[in-house]
Amino acid sequence: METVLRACAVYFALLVVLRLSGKRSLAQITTFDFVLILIIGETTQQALIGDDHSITTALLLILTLVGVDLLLSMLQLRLPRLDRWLDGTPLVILEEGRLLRDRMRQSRVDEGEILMAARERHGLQRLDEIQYAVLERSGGISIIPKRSGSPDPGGDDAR
Amino acid sequence: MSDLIRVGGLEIDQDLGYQRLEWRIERLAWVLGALVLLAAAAGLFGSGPLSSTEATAGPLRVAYERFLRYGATHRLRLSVDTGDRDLLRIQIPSEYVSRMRVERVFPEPRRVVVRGDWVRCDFVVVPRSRAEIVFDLEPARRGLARGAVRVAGEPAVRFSQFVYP
Repeated sequence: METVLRACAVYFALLVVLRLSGKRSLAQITTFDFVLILIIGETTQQALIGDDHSITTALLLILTLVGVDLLLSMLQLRLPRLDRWLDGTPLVILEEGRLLRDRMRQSRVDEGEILMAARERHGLQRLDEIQYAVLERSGGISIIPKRSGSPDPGGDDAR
Repeated sequence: MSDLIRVGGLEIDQDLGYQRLEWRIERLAWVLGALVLLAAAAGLFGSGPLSSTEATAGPLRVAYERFLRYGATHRLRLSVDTGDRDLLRIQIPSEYVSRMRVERVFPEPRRVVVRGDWVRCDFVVVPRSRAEIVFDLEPARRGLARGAVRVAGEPAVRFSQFVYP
């Protein structure tokens, strides 16, 4: 029982903290974001398992975490409001080649990051080649190129 | 999925009203987070000026932590004016001992005697000196722990500790 409660407590605590840190915090933009995820994982593991290294506990933990996750995703489908609170909503940060500065500032996104996404996915070179840039719920930026500017809107990228 | 709206040619479940609320809550949470960290630095979660303290009764002085964390070792430091004694009898309530795992007692007591509600540890000491004894303890239960220590026949030092989960 202790294990199950621990897992639930840690799950919800992490959910709240990561959600409140904003979309961009763990979007794996830089190498350090990756390191941060590793460290958080390591720290969480200690709190979850403690001194108990039994397989029973490990399985119980996994079952609890997967269970909570499943339950939440089912609830999210039923309750759009909960869905918004848990995962947020996408946000247009560039419209018709025009940067929406206020939204970018609030979400901590800069032009460089939009251009990076544009280069990576579509091989675009300038902001005015972008029709829309959207900050997704995952924290990633998706780019919709202008039809006339880019011959390949399909996104076979030039990585 | 929330309601879809159209932004130009884009069909998207953007919700600016909600987004603004989210930003506001986010900023508030950052301030709260900073306050929690400040409180932690001050010792609200153990080891800091808010937590470390001392209490005295008769020949005994006890340095202890007000705030403990479950599973994390903390130290109870006793300092005793030995007077004429060459055998120091330190007593701790069994109830308190049962809430803590004793990791180490230094110096090691010559013997440990259980008597009624108290556990007694006997230490060989030099008369007319100060004896320093440390107990390294690990909380085995969460919540409020009421502790006490006394030199046999003297008044007890009583203290409360809160164990965070």
